Parts: sequence; structure tokens; C-alpha cells
Amino acid sequence: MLRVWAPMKPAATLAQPATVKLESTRRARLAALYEANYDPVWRVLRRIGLDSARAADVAHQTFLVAMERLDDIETGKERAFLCAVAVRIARKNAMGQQREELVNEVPELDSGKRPDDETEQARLRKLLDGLLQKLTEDLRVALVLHDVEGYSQREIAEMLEIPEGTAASRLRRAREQFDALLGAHMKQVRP
Amino acid sequence: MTTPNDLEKLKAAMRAASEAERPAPADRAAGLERLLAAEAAAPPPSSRGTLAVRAGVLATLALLIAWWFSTRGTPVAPLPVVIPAVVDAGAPPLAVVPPPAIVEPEPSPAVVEIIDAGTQLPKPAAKPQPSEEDPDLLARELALLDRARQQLHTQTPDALATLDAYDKEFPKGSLRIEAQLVRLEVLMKLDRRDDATRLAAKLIAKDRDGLVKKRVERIIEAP
Repeated sequence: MLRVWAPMKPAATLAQPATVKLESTRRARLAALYEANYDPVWRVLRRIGLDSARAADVAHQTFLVAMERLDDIETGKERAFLCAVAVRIARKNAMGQQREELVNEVPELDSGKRPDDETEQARLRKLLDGLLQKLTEDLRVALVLHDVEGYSQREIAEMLEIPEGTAASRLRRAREQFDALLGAHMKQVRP
Repeated sequence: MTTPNDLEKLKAAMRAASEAERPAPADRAAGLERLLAAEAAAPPPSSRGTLAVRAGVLATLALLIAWWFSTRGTPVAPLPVVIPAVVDAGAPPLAVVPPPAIVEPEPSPAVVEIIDAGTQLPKPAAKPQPSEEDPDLLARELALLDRARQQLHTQTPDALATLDAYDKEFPKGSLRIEAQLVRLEVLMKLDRRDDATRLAAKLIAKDRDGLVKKRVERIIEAP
């Protein structure tokens, strides 16, 4: 039987539902990505030396990059991807400016207060940040990602695009230096 | 006197304090709002992608098309091309579509219309089609594809025969796209670039979410 082979509907009507569905799926994934990862990304940025406002700016830029690369982000590695992008942006834009504003004095630790006290937590963070700022940028980033955020050496190597041996070496040196700084601080506080 | 234990405790307390730190809720909410606004304002995902990748793909396709036309002595012009259903045994025998786009690889609305209209034509014979309820058929599909993949590297021409058998047995199979991608790899390996180009164009034209397109590009660009 001969059939006239012709379009059934206008093209826009055919293509629209699929596009709308795809767009809404993307938006949902992006929103979920943001909800699950904004805080940790912002925290990494704070620990590597950015103040709260700059951390928020860089985190936003990070998610804009994620929006563009959404289809390339491997499932299960979203946070590692975001942290890697965040560190890269921070290094490029913000860390250089921030370094001049670093507080050189490490605050004293009042060990009499309970660690769940909000003020005490703020003091502990200030102490941590003060000690971290005394490390070089490379060592600080490695230590924050590993000891504070819990990434493995391999993950850090992937994130920073360095050999795993280099990541391991940075971590070892960072820990040695951090422990020495912390020990010196404790001697000052509790001679 | 500070002991190593004290230091460890202090480090743990600092870590806990770090984890307890939160961004300002207002900053957080505003950030999400800005992000979704940016997403809404961005072009559709199908037209996204890095310029470099697009340029590379376009250049490759253009070269392949030019090479194909030059070897056949056909003038290089965007005239409609009749594509025989070499691969798609379930599709209508002939489909008139333009050659792969030289400026923009997205399927034109006309192509989408024709392909969509074509899928509504009756098929010559009803074939067993696997579904979630037919694990045996799906297993059979998988087995054929696995065999084709194995043959791809060792007995490439046989892989083509296996894929022909797959197409014949499962004209609307669940793994049809995968089978066509394997066929594309086989054609490239056999250096049948004209057939590969046509199949690549067909796959890209049908692909609406960009996933197949990426794989097609990888196969075509593979050394």
C-alpha cells in the first residue's frame, strides 16, 4: 500500500516536550547538586583562606562552572569535582588578594570552655585557620582536603592534577609543619 | 605539659569546629536563586558544549564529507542524499534526509519530522521484541552485542555479520542504539568511512539529549 510520508505535526510541537523535560531535569539536578554540596565547598574555601564573603563568591562561580559542565560530572564524584573547581578558582582569583589580609597572630585557645560552645567553636576555627595560614598554599590545600574534608590521597591527586606521590609528599610535609606549629602554640598557652 | 594525646584531641576539636561552620542562610539561598536564574537564561543543553569540541567535530565531519564526495566524483553541495537503510532494517527502506550539517550538527526540524513520521510507518513483519518481561530475549540481544564487540578487535568483518543478524532479529531491540554504535566502530575499523559517515549523521540526527552524539564523536575521532 502506498502511503504519503509526511510530517504529522509541526516540528516545534514535536521537539518541545522533550526539551522542556530535559530542562526541568537539569534544573532539578543542579538544585540538588547545590543543596548537597554548597556548604562543604564553601567550607573548603574558608579553610584555605578566604573570608566568608569571598568564599560565597567563589562558591557561586564554582556552581556556574558546574552548570556548564553538568553533563560531564561523573555520578558519585560531584563533590570532588566541585572542590577541585573551587580550589582552582580560588587560587586564580581570590587567594592572592586574601594573603595580604591574613591574620598573623594565632589566637589563644581557652581550653576551659566546652567544645560544643559556639564561641569556643569559633575560637577553634580561628586557631585552625591561623595555623593553616602559616603553611604554604600547596600544603594548606592538601591538608584541608585530606585532614579536614576527608579526601583520599588519590582523590586529592586527581583534584589538583598532580601525581599521587606529590600529593602524599605534600600531605606529609603539611602535617609535620602543622603539628610543629600546633605544638609551639600549645607551649605558649600551657607552658 | 602538652602530650601528643592533647594535640590529637585539639586537632579533632578543630576539625569538628570546622564541620560545624555554615555559610549564611541568606547567601546560600540567594546563590541558588542566582544559579537557577543563570540556568534558565542559558541556551538549551543540546546546544551547549565547548567551542573547541564543536569545532573539532565539525572539522572532522566536514573532512569526512568532503572526502566522501571527492571519492565519488559528486559535487560537494548540500543536496538531499538518499540513504539506503544499511543498518536500520526496521526503518522504511528509503529516507530522504539532507547530508550531515556542515555548519551546525543539530538535527534540523525537517529531519526530526521525517524521522518521526517514518517511525509511524508499518513494519513488514512483527519480530519478537525484548522488554523487561522478556529476560531471555534481552539476554539474547546482549549476547549478540557482546559477540560483535569481541569480533570487533579480532574478526572485524564477522562483527558486521553478527550485527546484521542482530538487526534482523531485533529491528526494534532495546539495545538498538548500542548496536548501531558498535556498527559505527566496526565500519571505522574496516575503513568504510562513507558508510560510517552516513551512520554517524543518522545517529546524531536522532539523538536529542547529546549522549549518543558524544560517543559518536569519540568513535569517529579515535585514531
